Amino acid sequence: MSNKTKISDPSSAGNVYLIFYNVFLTLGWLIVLIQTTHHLIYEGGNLKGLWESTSSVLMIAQTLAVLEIVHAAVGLVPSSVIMVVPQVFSRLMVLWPVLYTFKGTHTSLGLPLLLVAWSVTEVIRYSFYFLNILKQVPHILTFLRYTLFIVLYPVGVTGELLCVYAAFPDAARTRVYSITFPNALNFSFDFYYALIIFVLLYIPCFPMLYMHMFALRHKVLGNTQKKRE
Amino acid sequence: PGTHWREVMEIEKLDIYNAKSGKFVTSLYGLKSTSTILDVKKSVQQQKTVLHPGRQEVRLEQKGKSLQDSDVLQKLGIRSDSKLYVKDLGPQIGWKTVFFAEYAGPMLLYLWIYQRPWLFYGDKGHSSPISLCTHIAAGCWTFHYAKRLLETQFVHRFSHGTMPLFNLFKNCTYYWGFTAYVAYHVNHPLFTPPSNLQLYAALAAFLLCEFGNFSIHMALRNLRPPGSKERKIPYPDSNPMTQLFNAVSCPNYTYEFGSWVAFTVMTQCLPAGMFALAGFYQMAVWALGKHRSYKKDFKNYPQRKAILPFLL
Repeated sequence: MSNKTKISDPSSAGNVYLIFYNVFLTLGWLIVLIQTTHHLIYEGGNLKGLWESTSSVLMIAQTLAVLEIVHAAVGLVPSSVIMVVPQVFSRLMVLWPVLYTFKGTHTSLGLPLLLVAWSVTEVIRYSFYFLNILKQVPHILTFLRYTLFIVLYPVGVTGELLCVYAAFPDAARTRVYSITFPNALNFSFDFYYALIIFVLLYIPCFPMLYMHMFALRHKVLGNTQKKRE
Repeated sequence: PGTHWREVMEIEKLDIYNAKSGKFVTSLYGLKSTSTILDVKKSVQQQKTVLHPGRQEVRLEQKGKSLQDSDVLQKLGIRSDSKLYVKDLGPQIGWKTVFFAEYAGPMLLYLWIYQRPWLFYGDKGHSSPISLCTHIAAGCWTFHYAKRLLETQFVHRFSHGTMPLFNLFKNCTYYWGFTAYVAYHVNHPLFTPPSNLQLYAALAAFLLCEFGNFSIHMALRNLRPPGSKERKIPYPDSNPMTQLFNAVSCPNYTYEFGSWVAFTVMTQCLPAGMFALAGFYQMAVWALGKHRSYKKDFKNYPQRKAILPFLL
């Protein structure tokens, strides 16, 4: 019962924390977006240095997203853990074991695609959450949140896959993050094959999540249309 | 009034509605008061050939419970112009096909990887001899799945004839995926077996749990005679392995988990441990559900846990 009042009352402790969290992340991703655009404009599309300009804030902003798993688990937000975990996991998988580990990915065309898609999506998403707690979401923001994904989601996925693909040769050669036989627990882990499986998982997961967003769009934007009438 | 039960009446028209949407679908003609629900399903199939009887669920009310194929229309109070709801259960697959895929698949896949094929191990596949532990593990794995196949054929009684096709895909991914994962490690040329003491002690535990699981399956089979719908609380019988019923509602799952723990210790293999845990998670979910339904149906249900004595 107290959970319900927590979600709807903007001044409850949980919601004050969430306001700070969402504002902080909106600003973080806004910085990433500005840094990305600035680099692309002033360097004339030259990718050299793009990672260096954006990585510090990117790593902080994206890694903080693990807190959203906790938010869902303790019921601070209505999202289910099952939906949040794969999304956070896939972002962190691209960010740390791929982008941070392999310098070869920094000049991939995937990097600017990913940076633009992620940062635009997240600026809108976190500002939406923040204003939602205050029940002050302007219709234009709701519209953007449930419409831009149509382009940004495929662009982001393309960027992610291009970056992972750029990491393949180095991953195969160095066999980093891998455990080999023989060992006391008869366990093995081949990071290169794990990356391949990760990429293959996009095939069932992407259409499913994309369709889910369309269904949400129909539910949310369809209703507001009716309300205005 | 005035209708003797032996008199067969024509049911001129029966209206069929879609259980999901509530909308009218079609009318059936030419049925009788002595016709069964199965006859209704066959008549529906004549109009929509894709809906074979196994794929239909017939109900008296839109969200009512399923009627049995053998139910007679007159006994259900159905007469001409009555309404029936039909739900499409989706593409179905026979249970025999299912279990063959789910049990024979892992058995054969493991035995293939046991041969150390080039596809998994490359040229190094035959670089070292196969350890005694690996041989015994292959034997245990085969024994487990052969036992399951035989039980499916001769011991278990199933309430449904078919299951949805999607379940088969999901289950096979799980079974075959884990089989390949465990088999790859246990049959690897660089696999390190544990001590013989550990190997034989774990083997004994494995066989004991397999026998325990079988004992529970037999006890459950004997609990309900064929055709009866009576639900009863399971109790231990003359087989000492069934004493576990005094501690848990689903000792078959307890023993199964025990087998896989034993297999893990026998091979000292982390992937096997992961398989045991994954299986335990699913069985615990089932056991808790079964336990809850026993407690709901029987006010005098004895003090037991669901799957782990004293714990869960």
